Amino acid sequence: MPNLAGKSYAFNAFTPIGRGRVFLCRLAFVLIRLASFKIVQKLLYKVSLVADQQRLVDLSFIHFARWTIVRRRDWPNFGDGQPGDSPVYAYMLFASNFNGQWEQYIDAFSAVVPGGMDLIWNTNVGYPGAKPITRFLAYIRQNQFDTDYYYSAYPHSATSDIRGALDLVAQMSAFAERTESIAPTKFKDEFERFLISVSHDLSTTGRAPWADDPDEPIMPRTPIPRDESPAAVEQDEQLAVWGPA
Amino acid sequence: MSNVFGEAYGLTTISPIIDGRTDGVHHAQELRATLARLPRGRHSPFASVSGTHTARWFVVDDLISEAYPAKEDHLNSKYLVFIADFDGALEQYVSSLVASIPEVIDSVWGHCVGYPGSSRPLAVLDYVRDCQVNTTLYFGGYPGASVENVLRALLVQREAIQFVEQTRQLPSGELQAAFRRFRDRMEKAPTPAPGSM
Amino acid sequence: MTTAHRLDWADIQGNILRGYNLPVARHCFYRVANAMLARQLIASLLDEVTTAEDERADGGKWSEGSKPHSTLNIAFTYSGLAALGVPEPALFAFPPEFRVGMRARAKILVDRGTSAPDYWESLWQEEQVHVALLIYAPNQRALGERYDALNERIDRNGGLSLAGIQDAAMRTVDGMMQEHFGFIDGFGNPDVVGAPGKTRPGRGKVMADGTWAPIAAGCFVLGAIDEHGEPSPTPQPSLMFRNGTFMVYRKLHQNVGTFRRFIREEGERLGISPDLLAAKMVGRWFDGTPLELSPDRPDPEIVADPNRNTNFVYADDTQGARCPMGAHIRRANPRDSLGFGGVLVNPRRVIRRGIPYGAYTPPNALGDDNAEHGLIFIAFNASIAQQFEFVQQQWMNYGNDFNQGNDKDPLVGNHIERDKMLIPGDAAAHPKQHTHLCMGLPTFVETRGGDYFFMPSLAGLGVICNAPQRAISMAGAPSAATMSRL
Repeated sequence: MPNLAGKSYAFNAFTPIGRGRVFLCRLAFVLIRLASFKIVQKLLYKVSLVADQQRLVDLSFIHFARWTIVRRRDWPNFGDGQPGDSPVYAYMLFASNFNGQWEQYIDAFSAVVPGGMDLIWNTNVGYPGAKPITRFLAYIRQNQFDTDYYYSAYPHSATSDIRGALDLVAQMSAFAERTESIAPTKFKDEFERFLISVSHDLSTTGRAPWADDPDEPIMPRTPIPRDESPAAVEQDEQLAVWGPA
Repeated sequence: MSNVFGEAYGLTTISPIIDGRTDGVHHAQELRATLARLPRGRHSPFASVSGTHTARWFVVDDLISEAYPAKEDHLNSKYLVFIADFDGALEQYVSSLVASIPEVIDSVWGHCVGYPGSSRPLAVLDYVRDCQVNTTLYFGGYPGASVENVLRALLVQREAIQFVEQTRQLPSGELQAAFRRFRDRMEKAPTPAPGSM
Repeated sequence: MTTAHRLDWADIQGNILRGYNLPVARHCFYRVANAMLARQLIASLLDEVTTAEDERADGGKWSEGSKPHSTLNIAFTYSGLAALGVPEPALFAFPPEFRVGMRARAKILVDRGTSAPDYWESLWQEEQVHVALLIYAPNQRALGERYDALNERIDRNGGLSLAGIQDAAMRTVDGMMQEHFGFIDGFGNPDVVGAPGKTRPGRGKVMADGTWAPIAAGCFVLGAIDEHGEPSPTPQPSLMFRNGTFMVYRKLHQNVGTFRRFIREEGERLGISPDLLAAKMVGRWFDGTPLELSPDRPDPEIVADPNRNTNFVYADDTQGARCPMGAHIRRANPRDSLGFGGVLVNPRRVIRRGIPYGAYTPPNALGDDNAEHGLIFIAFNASIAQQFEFVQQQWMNYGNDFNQGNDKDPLVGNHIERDKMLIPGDAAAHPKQHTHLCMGLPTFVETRGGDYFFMPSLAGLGVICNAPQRAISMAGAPSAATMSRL
């Protein structure tokens, strides 16, 4: 059930969309996408939805996140004796990669962008609202599908580490260009100034003490040799009768 | 209907799993076991499929029904969901998969109905398209950065800390020279392996 | 504008909502030898348990500065509640982290290396501690008298056997506690809605208009409304849980020698004074002056003024030029640093009632890492997992929320990976302040033991020792909510 790869958590949830409400659901996403255009942002400045979009970015623990509407007819059917599927509801598939443990993440969403959460999930059956948080957590958890296999190209780096690294590279290039022909005696001062501007980009990455070891296999490829010693055999027999302690 | 955010493409596919057993092998169970045995981290097969930011598989045994007044909802087949965030276009990524990790994708999608097998790359692309569901809203934390960009930036970040530490006491002229050497070294450094940073 | 609901002070144990501020303590830990006898003993002690009420049985009032002869409070570990015979449905209602106990949470708490439970004192190995009786007093004589009197009754009763004792005593400077590294401590406790005592600017949460408001009581007291706007999860039977709290108890050894050597040698290497380096690690100067208010030097006037000594926000210091993002007090309470009106910070607040133990090191001495001294860290919160454990793991032993990557809290982080600390520079300062990088920090604080305790309300204590009638009369008139459940 490896939802984790190093610092990254893979979260998946399928939630049913109310009958006849798929259009509204799609409309919500259109609005959110529109809100990302600066012009529209300026026009709708007062609308909290826009603020929510910005806040989503600011939360900065999401690597990638997506919402996909799976219509009733979208479940593929290749014939071949396979029974087809046309479920009662259309579904919203939410899949994201984020840093931290899932409760902390959902916590933040409920606290910071409840309007955005409501807009996206209001058309979903059984959705209790982003607040109060305990009910929101329960709804999300109930509809979560655990990941069977998860790969991240940067398991030891959080989103803010990556953004910091990209900023560092950009700033370093600009600094190099700026100081290309500067007198050697003046360089150090400029370098100090540069350091100050990138001091938040110098994250140490690597395996966090509480994080998963992304290289560790979930199941070993070769079977573990059986311990045939009398004590082990007796323990096995006991386990068979009583179950794990 | 946007599968693209910045430079990244978000692929979602849903593939029906072959029902029951064939030659004694229960497809859904074997599929799960296969996924559990796949190497992880830097040894992951996806580390050798260039441009892969993230990839995941999960099995949907059945839908989860909500309480009253929602209606009970079920699926007649089990499905395998594949979600990946990668650089570039879909066609080129699928051919990468087929070229780099054919045995892996065969061992996974081989349990799914209608999968043609890696020996037929064009048919695989058609298969992926048939299984694809378009993303409605896609969001990325570092748009415009490819896997290569990110890995190289993380390397610079790690080395820069060492550089700052080692050159603290240097006088200005020497610092300048050291900085130029550092940049040079960074430019020439090999990109760190995916899954290692 | 709703009036704040006043909490039931007579039902809530003392030292939670308002610190006793008594300088000496004896924490007595017992094992249940006989459940029935132990319950009888606890029932017989109910009259003596110190509550949050202002006026005491001796006629003195905390609010007037009057101190009692001594105080007594009772708390239980999960295994203690089980040993006392609390029925299983109630036991299983406790949250998982409390049920397994603090030793089992070592991975989450980053109690690794020299802080690993394998190296903890024998008292905290295995599940020996069931019941804690906590005694505080204004002086050693009173402490001894109270302990002797209690001990006599415990001996006679025979239901509890002594597992161990932890003595503690704080040195104070101008009424404020000084810990072993030399820092004046105790500014950071939150004001709480409905609690006794004065509110002070800076202690609670900062509102959009810049004023300060107390933190919702439900963050610290089960059943009250919390910072999410909901009642903090209170398992059933509510009479046992309501108005109770969870106490995190950690014996933290302090490597005074290593710390003093570090600030001296590293300060010399960086070209800054040891005092400044220490201040950058913590966020306050040794005397308690906040860096945010006085980045260049300590300021006793600020420290002496309770309306100023914790009254600041970080809005003008987003780069950490005055108080580094990774400094201890900024990690423990980011205030407005994480944006979003503080909603990511306020629910994580804890109440700290720590007290040092062991002999103090004279100011000019080198300090001895092997000496028996440190801090008995005590935190009260409604959810150990969401509050203490979260802060310990994500804010003390990790830095992502502060854009500090894997960097840990310089002072209390477990530097098993020889972590670094980056002190941002300030181009605008006069003289200019350089960026400083300290690689390979040694570990200054090590865990030597502790556990998670449940500190019930008076009514809860009554339920635990099967004396509910008595518990209700102890708590005065029960609230309407309680009555409706009976």
